[in-house]
Amino acid sequence: MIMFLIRRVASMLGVLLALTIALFALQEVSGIDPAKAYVGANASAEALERTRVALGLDQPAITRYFDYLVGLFHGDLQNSLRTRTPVSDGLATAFPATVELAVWALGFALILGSLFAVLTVVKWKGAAVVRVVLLSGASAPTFLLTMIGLLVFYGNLGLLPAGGRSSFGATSPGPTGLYVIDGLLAGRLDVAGDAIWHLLLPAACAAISPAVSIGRVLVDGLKINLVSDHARTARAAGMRESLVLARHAVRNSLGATLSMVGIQAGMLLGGLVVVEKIVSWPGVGSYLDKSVQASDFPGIAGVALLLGITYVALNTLVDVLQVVADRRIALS
Amino acid sequence: MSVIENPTAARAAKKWARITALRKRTPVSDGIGMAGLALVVLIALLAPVLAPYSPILRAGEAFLPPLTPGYLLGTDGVGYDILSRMLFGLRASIASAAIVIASGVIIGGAVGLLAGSVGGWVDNGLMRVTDLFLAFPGIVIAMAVAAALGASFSSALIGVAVVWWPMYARLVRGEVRSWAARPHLEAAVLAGVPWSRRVRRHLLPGVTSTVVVAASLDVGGLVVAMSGLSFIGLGSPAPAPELGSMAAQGMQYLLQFWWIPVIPGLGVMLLALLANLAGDGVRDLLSRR
Repeated sequence: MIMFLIRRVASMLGVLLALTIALFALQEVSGIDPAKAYVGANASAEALERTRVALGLDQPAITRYFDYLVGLFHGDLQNSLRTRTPVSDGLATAFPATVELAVWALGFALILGSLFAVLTVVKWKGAAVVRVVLLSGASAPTFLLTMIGLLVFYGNLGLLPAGGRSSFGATSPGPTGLYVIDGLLAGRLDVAGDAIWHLLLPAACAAISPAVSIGRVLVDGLKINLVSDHARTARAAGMRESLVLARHAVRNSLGATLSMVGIQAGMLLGGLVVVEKIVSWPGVGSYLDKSVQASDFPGIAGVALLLGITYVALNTLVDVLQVVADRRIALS
Repeated sequence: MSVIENPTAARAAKKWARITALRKRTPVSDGIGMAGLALVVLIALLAPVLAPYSPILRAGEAFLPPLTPGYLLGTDGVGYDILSRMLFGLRASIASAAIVIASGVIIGGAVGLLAGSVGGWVDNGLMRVTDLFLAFPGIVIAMAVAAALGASFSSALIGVAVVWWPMYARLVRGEVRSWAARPHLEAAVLAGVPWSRRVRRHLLPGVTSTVVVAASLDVGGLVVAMSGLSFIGLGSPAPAPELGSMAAQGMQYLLQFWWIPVIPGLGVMLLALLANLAGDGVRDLLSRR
């Protein structure tokens, strides 16, 4: 188990190192001059040259890569060409917003996916309708779902807000930056409730397509396990069908489903970018969108690095959880 | 008994019975998907002929609702004809999906075929690289690559193509390995059949149907993913008709003139849905041998 952990973490670090090399190479290709980010477009040629030397941009690429890497370890993601301030500052305020949205979206995806799977397997009559709705939902781009959600729940019904994260202004009442938790910690139920009210639509819209993928894997697993020998034995011993499903089928299907959850977390991050843009969610996705509009590569690379680290760490966690659930995996 | 006397007729009857049985077992949705996709592709290819107006020139008043005479899907905030832009946008979507899938199959197929058939350190090295690509959140990397190359149609294609091949490499390598372990290939090795001939005559035909099935199931998701990239501005710049960017530009009118951003989104959904159904159809046809 310990050997497995060490191996897994080492491979994670290797992957992240490769990511930094890739982003550095892309920055080279993009032809963007970081010195300009510091001095601005109107600076004189001498000032630009001085900054270039001061930033070490006259050095060969290898040296600059190591400077970049050392900078990363100190939390330096270079300056944004758009805001002329450090990318790390912008991301530090945006990241909690995205984490909160992503956690809720993943939660919705798990609930919807499980519901879809169980209803399909127990052959509930309305399951066909659920299936058609979810499958068409999975073919719809996230931006369409979010726009229709806004039209219906804000435009027509007036039940949900048009966008944003809170009606109480942009400052969090607590330490985590997650408004629901901070609101609860501070005893401000109104703040927490308001945050949930703002979360519902974007989280649900981002959840649909991962939910279908997760649900499909779960359905396959459940179907195989329900006709397996141990399920048949349990039935022969007089176990109720609902218990066979709960004890013997669900548990044995969790491994593959968990892998799918890890993969879908990556797709979810992509979907969140679009959702955040539509509902003006002040998260990493909106930051990326603004960076793209301004051709601000340091901003884009910062987001890619942050989301890359999140994704790789999450998948490492999923692998470890799978070993915790089933030790045989660590041996193979 | 004429059937027994006439072997040709017997064979024809047998073939007919097989086709009928196949038709009975194939879901209706397969047919709808394939026919619908074929129709949409045809319409999109004929966009320059069918479109009533230019997609990038003002066609009339702005904000005309759908079903206005002369403007079937209405006009947008500039006064462009939405139908004309949709036709060209669908064409761009289909073309980009085709290009990315083709590049994924070719690059991934070559890597997988090489890794699976040569084995040893070549296999190890190539698969390490493949796994590295699979360890990243693909869509985020695609965005970074597309942004680094500057927003344009070809940058978006390159960005997605960079992250789209590893899946095929994995798939092809696995298939090749399983074929290579079969007796007729062992026999071929022992008989001294050279590597290139083994690949060409035995391995390549073996993996083709699996790859075709995977690729056809892939189109729908790819169309959706690329529309998302275009939506956040990583695609052709402004007036070019792309479904994602049309929706993004129309978003400001969502509450007053819903059709401007929603219709392009529905176009993406229609294309993806048909492609998914058709993909299921291809799988049903090819996996039943």
